[in-house]
This record gives sequence, C-alpha cells and structure tokens, in this order.
Amino acid sequence: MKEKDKWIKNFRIRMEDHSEPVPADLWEQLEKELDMVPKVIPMWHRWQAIAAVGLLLVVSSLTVWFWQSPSANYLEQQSAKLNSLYEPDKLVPGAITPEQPMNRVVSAVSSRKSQRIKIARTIMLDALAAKREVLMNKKVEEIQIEENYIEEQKEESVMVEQKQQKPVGRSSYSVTKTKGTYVASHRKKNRNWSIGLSTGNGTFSSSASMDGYLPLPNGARSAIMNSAYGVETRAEIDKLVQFNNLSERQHAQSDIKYRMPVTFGASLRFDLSDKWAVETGVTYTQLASEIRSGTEKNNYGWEEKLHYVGIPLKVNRNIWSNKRFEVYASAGGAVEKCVSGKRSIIGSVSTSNAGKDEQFSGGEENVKVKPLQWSFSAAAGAQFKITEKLGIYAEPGVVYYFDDGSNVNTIRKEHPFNFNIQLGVRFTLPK
Amino acid sequence: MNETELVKRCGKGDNLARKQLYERYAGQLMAICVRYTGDREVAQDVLHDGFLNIFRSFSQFTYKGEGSLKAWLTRIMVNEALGYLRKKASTNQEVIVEELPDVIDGDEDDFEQIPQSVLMQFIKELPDGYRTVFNLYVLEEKGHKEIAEMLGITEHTSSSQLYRAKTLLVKKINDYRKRI
Repeated sequence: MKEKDKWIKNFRIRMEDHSEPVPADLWEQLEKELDMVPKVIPMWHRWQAIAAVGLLLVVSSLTVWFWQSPSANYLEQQSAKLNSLYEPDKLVPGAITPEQPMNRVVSAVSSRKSQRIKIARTIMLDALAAKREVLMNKKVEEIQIEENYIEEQKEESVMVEQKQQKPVGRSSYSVTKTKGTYVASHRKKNRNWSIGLSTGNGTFSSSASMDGYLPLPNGARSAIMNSAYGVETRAEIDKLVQFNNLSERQHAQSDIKYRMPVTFGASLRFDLSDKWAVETGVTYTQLASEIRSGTEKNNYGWEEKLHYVGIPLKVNRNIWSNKRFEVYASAGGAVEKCVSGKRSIIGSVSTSNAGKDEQFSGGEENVKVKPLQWSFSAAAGAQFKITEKLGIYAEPGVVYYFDDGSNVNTIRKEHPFNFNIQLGVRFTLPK
Repeated sequence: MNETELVKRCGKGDNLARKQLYERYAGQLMAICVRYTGDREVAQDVLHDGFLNIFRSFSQFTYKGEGSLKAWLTRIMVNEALGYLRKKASTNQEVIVEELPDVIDGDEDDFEQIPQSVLMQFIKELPDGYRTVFNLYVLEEKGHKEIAEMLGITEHTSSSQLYRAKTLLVKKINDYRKRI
C-alpha cells in the first residue's frame, strides 16, 4: 500500500503548484457583479446614528453650557460672599473699610454685626441695581435694534456689550438660585452609596439577507448527525443541501437574524460629591442569533446563544436635580467576557422525487470566544425618587462595541454602534 | 500587501484587495476547476461562481497563518466544482463503462520529464467519477472515508474508482513515454 502511495505522492508534488490561464475579462466581470450587491445598511441603523448624534450633542452642549455658564460662576461667587457672613472671625471684605471710622466707638461685636448687615444690604442693592440694569439694557437693546436695524455694525457692538454684561444680568436669576445652592451644599455632606438593579437592551434586533450560501463555522463540520439520508454520514449538511438545491435549480439565499440582546445587572454607585458619582457593578448579557442558508426546502444553518458577564465602570455627572428628580449625564466603558456559548447545527432536506422531508440535527457544540469584549458608552439618565431611599431610573444612550477580533459574529460586530436603553432601580444605603 | 492585510481588507470589501487576491490565486484555482470539471469552458463558469462565493463570504473567514487562506480558497472552489458535477450527474444519468487495461506495466513514479499540461490533459480525459475521486484523493489529500461522505458513495466505490483512475493514468503516461 505504502509503496503504491509513492506514485500518488509524486503525482501530487508534480501537479501541486499548477496554474491554468485565466480568461482575461473575468475580473472585470466579477468586479461589476460584486458592485451590484450593495452593502445593506438597514434604515433603522441610519436613524439610530442620527438620533444618537443628536442626543450626544444635546447632552454635551447642556453640560458644557452648565460648566461654563456665567450664572454658575456668579452663583459660586455670591454664595462664597454669603458664606463669609456666617463666619464671624473672618475679616470682612475691604470694600466696607471706609465706613469703619464711623463705628469706632461701638463695641467690636456689634460693629461686626452691623458690617454683616451692611454687606448683605450691599449685595442686595447690587442685585437690585443689576436687575434694573438688565431691564434698562433690554429696553435699550430693543430700541436700538429697531432704530439701527440697517446700521449693522453699530448693532453688533451693542450686542457685544450686552454679552459682556450678561454675568451681571443673570444676577437677578441667581438670587432665587441661591436657595438651591444651599440645599446642594447641605447635601454635599451625604456622600451616599447606592446600589441598583437594572435591565437593558439594544433597542433593536437585526436581520440581513444575501444571495448564496454561508459556510458553516469552523468546528461545525465534525458534528455527528443521525441521518437515514444516503450513507452513514458525518455532518456535511451544507454539501448535501447545496447539492439538492443545485439539482433542483433553486436559488439559494442566506438569512442572518440577530435577536435583541438582553442585559441584566446590579450596580453600585458612590457619590463623590453632589455633582459627581462613579458607578460599577456586574452585568449579564445574552446574545442570540440564527442563521439559515439555502432554500425553503433544503437548508442548513445554526443557532447560537452566547452568555456574557461584564463589569461596567461609569462616571455620572449631575446636570439638574430637585427633591424627586435627577437628570444626569453618564460616560464610561465596560469589559465583558463570554462565559459560555452554544451552537446547534440544523438542517432540513426534502427530496422532491422521494417526497420525503428530513430534519437534521448536527448536535450542539460549545462556542468559545476568548477575547474580551470592550465597549464605550455615553448616556443621559433620569431618575425619579419614589421614596428618599428608593429611585427608579432610565438611561437612554449609545454604546460602541470594539471588535473583539474573534471569528464569532454577533450583533455587536454587525452593528458596533448601537442605541440602547437601560432601566433600573437604585437603593440609597443608609449611612 | 501581505496576506494578513489582504485578508483584512478583502473582509471589508475593498476592491483593490479583492483584485490582488484574484490575481494571486486565480491561476491555481482555475487549475482546480479544470481538474474537476475536465472542461475549460465549464471551469471558467465554476471559477466565476466560486470567486463570487469567496468574496461574499469573506467576512466568515478567519486567517490562521500561512496556508490557511489558500486552503480556504481551495475548499470553496472544490465545493463549487463538486456542486457542478453533482448537478451534471443528476441530469445526465448515463453510466460510463470504461474498458480497463489488464496489466499495469512499469509503474514508474518519476513525472519530472512529463509537462504539467500533458498530465493535466490526461486528468481531463478521465471519466467524471474517476476524476473526482482521483482529484480528492491525490491532490486534495482526502481519505476514502471523507470522499465517500462528500460524494454520497461508499468507501469501496471510492477506492475502486481511484484504482481505475490511476490505472488509466499510468497507461496514458506509459504510452506518452513510448512516444517521446
């Protein structure tokens, strides 16, 4: 036997690298046909991208506005001034010094008292003056816009002035806000721990169709199937199906369905300050997909279920809050590991002449995804406190999943940029 | 462009990379098509369909080092050719009865002086059934068990067809040697 194999071996070696001339215009033809099948970008995907970009713009501009807004600065200055009034041993601001000689006779304590009252009055007067100024400016602005409608340049300079005066202009507004600041600073002392339970998902499932067959994934070929079809066979379901379709001149098509991912999680949030908080936890996600290749009568495919356990890490920034509501922005990332995965191979063959249908089961096999799945996310969140300790929240946001480099296809590879919504409850732990 | 990059870009549907892949492998894959179909015209169609299949399912391919790309391309092309042969077999059920030469004399295994094109011609001249088994066994290095599964025949049929194919080829080669 081995002796004879030498002939075969030599024949193989002789012919191994053999090439045959290729028809000259084949590439041009292929190129044309490949272009004719455009990559399918589902409509919802485009809308998602637009919506996500819109949301990001809104959230980021809100945040930037709040951080840089003159009212926030002014607020801080004013509350600092007010705070100084409650610290008796602190020297009063120099602006009041000219008045001091008049009060020399009075005792130190009462002088401080009166100074405090005076400072308070000054601030209030400041505020009133500013308010008046704003009203004046507004009138002036209106008149000037009407009068100098054509003289654009002049108007522009007025607008610049207006802008410069804005910090003052906001002062009337800030007086009412001071109360809020007080509440916030009071809360500052409570650096709470919160725990949460959440569920979330990508908002959509996805499916795609294409002409032709998809090859069975690596490893699927060794599956054993119980079949009365033909000889005792190991799974080459794809060949059988392709053969049957070819002989029946059927047009083959491949469908991929990615189910909506489902996520459950528990989270732990720590308030760093009244504005900032970090959140981590543990999540469980299930990704499922179904692939079918062939025709209605003859087809093969596989179903996959992957289970991921992940750890997110997010930073939350409070944008606005009152007693019951809280609006915040959140950004962060997560790392997920596929802890288990199953793939079952299936096939269905119906031979027209025998009129007999046959279902094949290629059995189940384990799917291993070794690389970690990294993702980046940004979201806007809203929380409603049912009681002081218990709140429910919703976080619509966007997630970007980095390619994990594995050969297992998931919805995250198909649509790495995805819109999702997370819902959950948060418990604030008693200190 | 090295192979890793080529694979990556083909996976993304980059036309330039596809063209390079085509230029690199079209000749060898065409040889496979001719070997299996035994007919240049048909082989061209198979090559065309095979390449479409390759490019459309490229995202499913994972590069596993040198040789893996060629192996994958070969597999698709062989499957494509087998598909054609099955279709042909199911529409054309005539049984070819081949007269086998009785004795194999001078079972020489040195093919160096015989041009590849001549050997190719001999393979092409083999009846479809023999040729398929011969290709799978000798050139794709499949076992009889595997061939039997692929073609839906018994292992016994596979090995007897290989034997017949080889006998015919040896005779053709010997005749050729006598002529030169």
